[in-house]
Amino acid sequence: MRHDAADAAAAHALNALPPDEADRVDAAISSNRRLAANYDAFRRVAATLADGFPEAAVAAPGDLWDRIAGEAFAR
Amino acid sequence: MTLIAPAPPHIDRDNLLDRTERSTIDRQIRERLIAREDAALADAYRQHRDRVYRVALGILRRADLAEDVTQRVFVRLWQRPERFDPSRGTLGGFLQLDAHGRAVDLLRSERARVERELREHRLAPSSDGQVGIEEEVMRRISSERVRDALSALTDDQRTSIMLAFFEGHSYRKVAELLGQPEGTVKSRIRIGLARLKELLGEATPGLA
Repeated sequence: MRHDAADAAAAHALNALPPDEADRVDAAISSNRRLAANYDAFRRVAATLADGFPEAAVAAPGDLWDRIAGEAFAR
Repeated sequence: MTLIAPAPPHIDRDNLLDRTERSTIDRQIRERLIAREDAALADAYRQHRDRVYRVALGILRRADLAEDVTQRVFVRLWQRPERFDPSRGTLGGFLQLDAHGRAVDLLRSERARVERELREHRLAPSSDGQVGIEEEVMRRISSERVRDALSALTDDQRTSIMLAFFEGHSYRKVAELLGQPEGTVKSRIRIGLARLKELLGEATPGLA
């Protein structure tokens, strides 16, 4: 696997690619199993990094669920 | 009339379950979502809302925008539950990174707007604010395990990853801020992430 493809997959895992490049990398990932495995591994590391964001001083408001349910379940 | 279920009480189960239990629960929620079971979305929201909201707020620093991102993430989970693939990671990780991506998109569009306004007023955005940004970001990281792992990277790797992930910059912007070639920054991100994978290893909650 070329390093530049792996580099792009790593940046994509951090949501650090501009949209046009992200689309190209998504296409490459969908057709390259090894690149996809690398991307998934980087993505799991990113998910762990996300646990490092500071605890919110204020919790999500109670009415947020109402908004979500109202939009999701609107028939 | 649309009936709205009461707000579910919060239980942060991801940190209480082992990997097998979490994977089983994630798969069940996915199947129930695909079967259009309303309560499945309530369960996903109850289990993951705080971590989703925290990521959005961490990037955007504005509660109203973080709420909007959180809403979009869960509505999209309901609309397209098949996007989550349990074989590739946990539902919590999937939702956190979805929130991160949406928050980053919003942040970049807002930054672009501000920089456009500054240019129109013949003012260049200052780079002084980047001085000490790494220390500030590191100070705000709440997980000791994440802090320790980042501390084990080289300075170049750590700064590139922190500016990209925790500050929401594109790799191009990181390269600009650091005065480094774009390819160099991307390579540092890849090598740094590979090192973090080793450091965080099998105990990583996102590793399914």
